Amino acid sequence: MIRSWPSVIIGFVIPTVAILGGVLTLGRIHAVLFGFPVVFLWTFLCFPLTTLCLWVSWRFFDRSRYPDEEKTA
Amino acid sequence: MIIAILCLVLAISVGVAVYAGYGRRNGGISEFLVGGRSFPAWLVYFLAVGEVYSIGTLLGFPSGIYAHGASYGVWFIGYILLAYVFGYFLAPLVWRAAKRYDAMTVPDIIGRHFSSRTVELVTCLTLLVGLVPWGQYQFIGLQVVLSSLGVSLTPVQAVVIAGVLAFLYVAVSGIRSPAYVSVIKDTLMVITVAAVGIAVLFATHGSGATTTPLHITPAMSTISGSAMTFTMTTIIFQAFVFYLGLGAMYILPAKSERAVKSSTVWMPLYMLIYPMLVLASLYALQKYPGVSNPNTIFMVTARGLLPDWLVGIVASGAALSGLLVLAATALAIGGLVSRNLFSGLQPHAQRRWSTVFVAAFLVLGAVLTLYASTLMLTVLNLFYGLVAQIVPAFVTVLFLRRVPAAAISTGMIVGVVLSVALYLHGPSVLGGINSGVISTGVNALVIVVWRLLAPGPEREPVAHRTEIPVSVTADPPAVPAEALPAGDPHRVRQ
Repeated sequence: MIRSWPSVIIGFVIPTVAILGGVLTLGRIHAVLFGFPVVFLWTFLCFPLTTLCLWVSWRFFDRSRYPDEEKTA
Repeated sequence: MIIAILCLVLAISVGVAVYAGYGRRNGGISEFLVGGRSFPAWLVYFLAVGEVYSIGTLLGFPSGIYAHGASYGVWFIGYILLAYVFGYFLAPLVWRAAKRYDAMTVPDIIGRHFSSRTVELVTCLTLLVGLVPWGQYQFIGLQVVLSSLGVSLTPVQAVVIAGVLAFLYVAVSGIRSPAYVSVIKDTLMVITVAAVGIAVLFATHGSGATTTPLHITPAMSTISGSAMTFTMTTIIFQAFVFYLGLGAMYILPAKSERAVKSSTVWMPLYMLIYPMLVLASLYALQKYPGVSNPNTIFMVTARGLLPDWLVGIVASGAALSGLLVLAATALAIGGLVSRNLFSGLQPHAQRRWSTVFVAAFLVLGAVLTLYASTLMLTVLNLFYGLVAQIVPAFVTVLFLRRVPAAAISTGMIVGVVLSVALYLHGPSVLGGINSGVISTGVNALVIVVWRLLAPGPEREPVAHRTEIPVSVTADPPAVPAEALPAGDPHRVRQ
């Protein structure tokens, strides 16, 4: 069922830990950076981080396993 | 000026909807509900972000931070972001399940997997109970947008216009309209949020008439105690429900698993609008304290900072986001009623009947908005808890063998009843844990215990299939008719 463990670690484990771990630890801290509460700033940083992780999973581990419908047409 | 721009944008959107359906009026129910399962990755992307970032993002998110502080904003952002992580792995499996059972709705998938009309009906009713108030909530949002602009429309006129436009979108081209109109809506939404955010930056950092920096209190920046428990459980719970409960609307029209998976990669980047929305919320807290209706706070901020023509763009973005979700939800409800609630409709008549049920829902939604808004908003608070009750069934379809159909129906009914009971009891008894976690957990427990005590017949889980299917042509039947059980109600409904 799981076709590639590196894909799961990069595309699932890293962003999940970043999002949940960040909220759990930084949510209790009253600090403001660049005009934002630090917990918000962390979640904002997770947007590009998540896309980067998913892109690496897709580009290097998953893409070749999913048939390209244009080529198979 | 505001009204002129709003009318122009709405007229263009109707034109795009008509264009989207050009030459496809007679495409049948598959074309109507799932676009003939032919959407490429870019269209799946726009349909998904069009549905996800509804009027609730523009109105509900700022008002939630305004009224409840950081915890509201963090769980709202956190669950959507985590949903994309889950969705990257789960959404292709949802598409595969739909392909395998030639399904156009979620009850199609679950009912056919278990070859059970009861399971199909219970799933259908669970979804309807959740989706009707969700669609009606869009009506209320549209009313807020129009009233906060000072538009001289009565509530009746506002909901009638919203209902007629939503019906037009759906009637001319089914699911293709929301997908194509999403391109306009998302462009406007990004312009809208960026304009307000930049205006706030100017106003608080020295280039506007006001130069007072934002003052952020600990209550606005920290999450602790039961609020942290609620935030964490809500992020995980709603992220899981996102694709297995609600995502079918934008997964099923995709042309392949590849299109679904590759489009998900880029979805978190759309969330870069949120820093500007947070900024606008924090600004509104100081500039406009004590606003009686927090739902209007984004529009109030926009009107206070932007010139009229730009407020017109903001209003257009907000109105389109509400209309799109209203149209897509009405379409989903129409499909559920015509395919799953009434089982006797012939395939060639399903598109016509779906359109009739869409119209009926829009009339019902308009009436409820005018006469029972408070009641429907109460039901809306149950939305995720109710829709989540189909998640254990979906997990079974994807991953588990030998689960009896009766266990699925019973688990779902127990979960729905428990959701309502916990909601009425209030959150105090749960120590901050999202009540949906409890009700969905009990639903899953019923299924697991039943499975252990009395295993059902062998059924191959969708995820265990090794070959990844490709859909090049629209909808060849994935399961041969002879492979279906003799009593399967779908034998005559393909």
